[in-house]
Amino acid sequence: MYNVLQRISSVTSFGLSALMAMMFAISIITINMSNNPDISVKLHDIKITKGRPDYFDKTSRNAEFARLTFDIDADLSSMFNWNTKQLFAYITVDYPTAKKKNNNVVIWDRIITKKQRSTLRMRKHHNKYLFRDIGLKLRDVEGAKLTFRVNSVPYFGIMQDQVLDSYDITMPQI
Amino acid sequence: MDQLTKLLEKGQIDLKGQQLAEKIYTFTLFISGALSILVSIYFNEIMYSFYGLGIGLAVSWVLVIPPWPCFNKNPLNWLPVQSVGAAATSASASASKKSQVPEEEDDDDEKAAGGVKQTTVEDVDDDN
Repeated sequence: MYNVLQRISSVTSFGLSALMAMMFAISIITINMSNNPDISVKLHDIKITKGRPDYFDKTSRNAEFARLTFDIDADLSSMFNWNTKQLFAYITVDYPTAKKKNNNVVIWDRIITKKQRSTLRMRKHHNKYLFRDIGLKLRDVEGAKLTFRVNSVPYFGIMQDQVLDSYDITMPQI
Repeated sequence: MDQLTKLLEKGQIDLKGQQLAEKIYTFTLFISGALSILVSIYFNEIMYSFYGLGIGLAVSWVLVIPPWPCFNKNPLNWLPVQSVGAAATSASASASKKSQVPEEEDDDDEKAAGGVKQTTVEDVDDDN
């Protein structure tokens, strides 16, 4: 604080500390802002086919692949606050098998970066990603659930993964 | 580069002024941070809080960094400069004013100055 150089140094370093404190305060303030999104996912049907030629994955000839058809009606605009950078909305199928207790397979996702684009309306949409099990069989699965999750990504603070809605589905037995 | 360091080492302020400057920039930055959070809550725009803090930092730079006259109101009163070599003449004259320096040392200095040649005493003074 004695000469100009020391004053520049101390003022700027205190300013950077204030910046850090402000970012921390922002992340605390916005951590649980109220949100009440409307979600409804309607499953039309599930088709299971066996085998799919893949040069690099020899197991895919014997694996079973499921193809889902579903409707999505979602209004996520209330999840945007002034500290939200983007929303990562995704649908998983959660199911237990004999080998593994807990399986979560992401079948669809979308990154929403603007509040104007946060209303989703989809009709007869298919899964975006392949849905197969690591144990090759999907027919015997019971107790599967279709879960709509949203991970809200803030500018500052922690990312929060929320389960917004969950539906019981039955895999076709054949 | 030398000129720059000389420039940066200028602008010295006294101790009370340093205290005042620290208070000023702490207050400015704290208030600007709190206000900018409120503004960005009101406008729902996160960048406003950073602009606000940046403005506060610029204001505190302007307020604190130049050696404004209000930081130099309480200058330190240093003891007058005394050279050991000329102790016989000037030190004895100003000895009555020095309250902090014990008198015995003064006497020793005077004896040393009387005993040794003036040039050697000055060399010792430079080393110290």
